[in-house]
Amino acid sequence: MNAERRRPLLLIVDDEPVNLHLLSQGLQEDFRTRTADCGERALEALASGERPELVLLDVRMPGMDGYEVCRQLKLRSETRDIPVIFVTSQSDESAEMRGLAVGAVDFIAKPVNLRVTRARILTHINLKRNADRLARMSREDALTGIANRRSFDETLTHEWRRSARASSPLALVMVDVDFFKQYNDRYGHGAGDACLKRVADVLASAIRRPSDLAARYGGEEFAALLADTPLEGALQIAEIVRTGVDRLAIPHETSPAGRVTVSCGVGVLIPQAHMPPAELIATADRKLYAAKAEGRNRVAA
Amino acid sequence: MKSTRFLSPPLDIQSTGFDVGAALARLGGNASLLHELVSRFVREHASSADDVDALVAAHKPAQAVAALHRLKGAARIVGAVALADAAQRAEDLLMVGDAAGLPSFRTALDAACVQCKAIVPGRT
Repeated sequence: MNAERRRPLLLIVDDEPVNLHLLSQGLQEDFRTRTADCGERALEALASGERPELVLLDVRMPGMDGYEVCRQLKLRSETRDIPVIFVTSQSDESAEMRGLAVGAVDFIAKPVNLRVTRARILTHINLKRNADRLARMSREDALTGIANRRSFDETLTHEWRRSARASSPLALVMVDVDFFKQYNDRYGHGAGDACLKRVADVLASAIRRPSDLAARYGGEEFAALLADTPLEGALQIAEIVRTGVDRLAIPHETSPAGRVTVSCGVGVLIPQAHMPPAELIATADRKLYAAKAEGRNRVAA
Repeated sequence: MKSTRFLSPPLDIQSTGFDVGAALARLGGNASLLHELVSRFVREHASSADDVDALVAAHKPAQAVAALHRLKGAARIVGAVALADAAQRAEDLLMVGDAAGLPSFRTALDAACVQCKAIVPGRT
């Protein structure tokens, strides 16, 4: 990442050319800027290309005014979280209340003071970046970078309901590293962590659709949740994971195979509204134990 | 190349209708940016009084008010306080259907444009 990429992108919306010039030129040391001279063009700019990290929005414009632009942008999931600061000469309470009601984070009064404007923009961009970071951390497994258990549980509940409504099959592949305790005992926990990361990478690259989820279920157990997937498709993914780990050929002296392997259990259900999502986990888990009992390094369904 | 020289000698607000010092302070002392904005202001607004009169004559008072409002904001940015006040008065009167503020607005705009040329010699 070079410095040019890190400089945050702003969208500045104002129908007055002198204002646009002031803000775009006056803020260019700290920000990259795009400009729009009316509400309609602002929405166009937000719908294409790189998304800005913050929008500076004039309230009073002919055609679509600032309130409406803000309302529209809060309606769309892609732009909902972009912070909006209103730049306005209407410094009365009702204008501010109306702006906050449609989702603005702050107000800047005209004529703007550039240093104050810059400081407020940076404050809101930092708040947004921190919120994004926390949101990401709450979903990610710290060691492997794939989804964590919390994220898995949420996604399972969501996909369970969606599949029940659509009467479509929901598949779960449970993946467990064979003889992992022995691996840790023989090679140490650092090597154990490295091994889990490589297994997670194999799992993450095995799933291809954006609706699928690769997660660390706990310890050395992983899960792939596959929406709209019948048994054949789930078996295919499980086999890709099993052979993928096998091919890593990570030495494991205390395993009969001599290298790190995984066992997979595949469960597929068409969820019913009255059934709990735990049914799917129980099914995949039973199959996983079957795979272990049959000799490990295999897929059971 | 951007100009880095400072502005013309300090101008008296009473006689010029400009508060260049306040405008410059809001820009963090960036004189070349103020020069650009003043030039831009003249380019965009030198004939705005004609536009406003035409809108009033065409019975489009709401658009005339919006044009005055826009100009007022731009005038404040460049420190043209007397013009901003005249625009505000014209805007207030026009909102209640009275065009009486327009002649003094025109006078203030013309005077401000002359002052702009003094602020940025050779640039407008």
